[in-house]
Amino acid sequence: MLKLAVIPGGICGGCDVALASLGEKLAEILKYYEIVYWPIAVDKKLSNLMNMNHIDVLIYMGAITTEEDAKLAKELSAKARVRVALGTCSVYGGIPGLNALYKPADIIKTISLLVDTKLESSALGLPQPVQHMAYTDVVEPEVLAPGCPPTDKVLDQLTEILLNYAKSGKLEARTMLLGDSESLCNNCPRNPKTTKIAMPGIKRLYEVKLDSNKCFLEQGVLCMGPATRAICTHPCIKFNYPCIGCGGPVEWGSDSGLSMISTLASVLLVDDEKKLLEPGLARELNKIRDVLGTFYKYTLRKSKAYALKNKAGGEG
Amino acid sequence: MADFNVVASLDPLTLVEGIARIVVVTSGNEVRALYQIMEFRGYEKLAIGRHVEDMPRLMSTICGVCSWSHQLASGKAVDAIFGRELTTRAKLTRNLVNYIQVLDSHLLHISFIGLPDLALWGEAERDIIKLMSKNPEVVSAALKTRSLLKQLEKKLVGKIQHGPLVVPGGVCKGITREEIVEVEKVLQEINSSIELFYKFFDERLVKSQLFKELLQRDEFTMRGYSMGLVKEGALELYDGALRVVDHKGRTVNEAGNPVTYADVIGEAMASWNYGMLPYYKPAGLKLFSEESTIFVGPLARLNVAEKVPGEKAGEEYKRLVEVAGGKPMSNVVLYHWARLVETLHCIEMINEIIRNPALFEGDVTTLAGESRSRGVGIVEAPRGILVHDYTVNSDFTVTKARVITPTTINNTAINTSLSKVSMQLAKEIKSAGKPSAETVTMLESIVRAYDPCNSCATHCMKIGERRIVTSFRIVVINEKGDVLWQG
Repeated sequence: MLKLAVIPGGICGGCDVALASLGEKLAEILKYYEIVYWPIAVDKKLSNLMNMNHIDVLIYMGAITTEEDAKLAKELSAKARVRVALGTCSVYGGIPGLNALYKPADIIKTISLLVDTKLESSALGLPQPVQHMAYTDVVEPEVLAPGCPPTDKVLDQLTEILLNYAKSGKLEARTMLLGDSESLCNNCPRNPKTTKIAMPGIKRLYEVKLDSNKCFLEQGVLCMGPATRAICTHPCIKFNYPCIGCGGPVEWGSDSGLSMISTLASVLLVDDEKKLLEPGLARELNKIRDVLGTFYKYTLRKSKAYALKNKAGGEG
Repeated sequence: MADFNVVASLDPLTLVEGIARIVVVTSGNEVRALYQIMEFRGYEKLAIGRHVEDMPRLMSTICGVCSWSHQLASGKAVDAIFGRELTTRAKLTRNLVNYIQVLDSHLLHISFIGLPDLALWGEAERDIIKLMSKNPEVVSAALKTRSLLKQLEKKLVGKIQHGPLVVPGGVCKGITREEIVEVEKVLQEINSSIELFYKFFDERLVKSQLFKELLQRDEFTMRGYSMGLVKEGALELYDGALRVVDHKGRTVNEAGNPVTYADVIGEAMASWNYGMLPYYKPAGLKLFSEESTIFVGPLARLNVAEKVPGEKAGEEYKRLVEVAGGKPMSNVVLYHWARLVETLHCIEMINEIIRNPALFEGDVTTLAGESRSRGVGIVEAPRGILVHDYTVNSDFTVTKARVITPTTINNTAINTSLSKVSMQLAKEIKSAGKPSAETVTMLESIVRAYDPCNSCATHCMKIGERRIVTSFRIVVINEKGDVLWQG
């Protein structure tokens, strides 16, 4: 039996639920693997895991938010032969990663302004927070399994990788980003590939009644589909909500925000050549008041925007 | 408050969502058992600068268990900012999802935490695995129900968590009659599982000597303020007035305007707890005292409501109140029963909604309304009152966000409840160096009765040693933090 450990970092519980809902696939995995640690599912102590010489597969869920998270992630991953980053928080920092540019003290300060009373104690302490990171900032995992939560497609691929590894002792590649290597837009039920998208302008979500058949971009609504990896079967779009990019960029190392901005440059106001003059375009783009939250909702920590801002000393 | 020394910690507390521990501390001559939440996330900070219409989906990721509740409370705050009144269809759709959320979460607690906790009282391991060996029929019904509910969520809203639903002034998609046919089938199956839970709960627990004993024990009493939503006096989970009832059953506050929540709920931030410590503001902060403690969730909701809609739920509610010896009910063991009453209520309400033709007709979104700079949304999440409060600037980006979750509110109540066990605990640690098995069981049961979800309570902060284990661990440490004994 191979040893499988599931380690939670800063989580909401969604990835746990997704993994636990694998059902028969999980049963198949358990024919080859013994779960040596998975807090919500099995009663195994972390101290036992720390004493083990090696772990075959380690799955890390959630983000790194404390010194302990980082230490544990590094120490345990060093013993693991295959490391899996599960979920968008683990791979890209996720939504909590929108805090990546803030120091923990700034976050605590913002919160302390909301409360009525403060109580101090020097004796009873709490663990030390760190600036928000993805698991991939402290370890270089072999398997990257994005999604918020990870989709059936990603979990199917992960299951196959784990079963193949159990049988052959090998992985197909050094770094594997799960999902399909194309943008979500390519197979969108609303946008056959033959269609040329023309975006009439930019509308915020509160300004429109969403058409349930037409491409969101053609309605003027930002949809991250063109810049997002195909990790799902379009559940949001089918439910009449634009893609918000939980799958991350199309390829590992690329930047979803920059890809989306470049898409916008080629589709925005294309049918109206006159408006293409710079002032018209700028006016439309200026409607996006929250650039980071629009283009990097799930991936700010791994973005070029983060690299630049952090270098400049972070955002106030 | 005076500083304190750490005597012992039960670390970490398992079978609650998220990371927390019980710590025993001394402060002069006082001894207290504290419930300490140790996580840190900062959603109030990351919300700033965001387009407000993006908030419902962003904030739904506070919790993977009650993701829909966060989305709905957030959505109500956003509706208020845009001054939009929902169409009947949109309101029914949101209500439907809310009932499914509460039902799902309650069944999760009942099967994985509540029933094992009570049915295996006195045993070292009180979890679903142990229950499986003794009562496989109950456990398999629990697992099946859970997978059915997940199917239901996937059918109705595309994803089981963090999915698309709320847009300002409505929902992004209406439900069709074809989709409901499947829902009805699933509901029938869920119904039979609940009957099985009920029978088990009634025969094995309600009629047991243990249950009678627990109802008499002072450690399990909570005589604080019950808080919940009511609509025309009846139990309401999505849209009602915020009512507060004191330990004598008197209504001390009732407000239809959600913005006034801040007059009722005060919040203290303690350097030793990453969860806030809310209190009943008009009473002033009296930490660990029932005189300023608010509690929320199923038991509090049934205390503030005068009736429970739904035939079966209504009858069961009356039976509960009778066994409890009248209202307000003040024993936290009754949370489990109240949760079962609410599952019946949810099923009956779901059945009512899916038979309402208005669910399938008309617009799902409205754009009309006069916008304003602040919006507050309050819903009853499975664990109680959930508040989302946003302020925006003229381009509708968020400048301030505040979220108060039910587990945060109950954080104070849990601490108040635990303080009743402190003396006993201190005595045992002094004489035997560790708490007795009976005291540990009691501590765990008190915490579990409230069904805390610490991922939620720490939406604002998330720090924590990732040392969760599924068995309950006790660590006794001295004031320097040296480990003296481990169980």
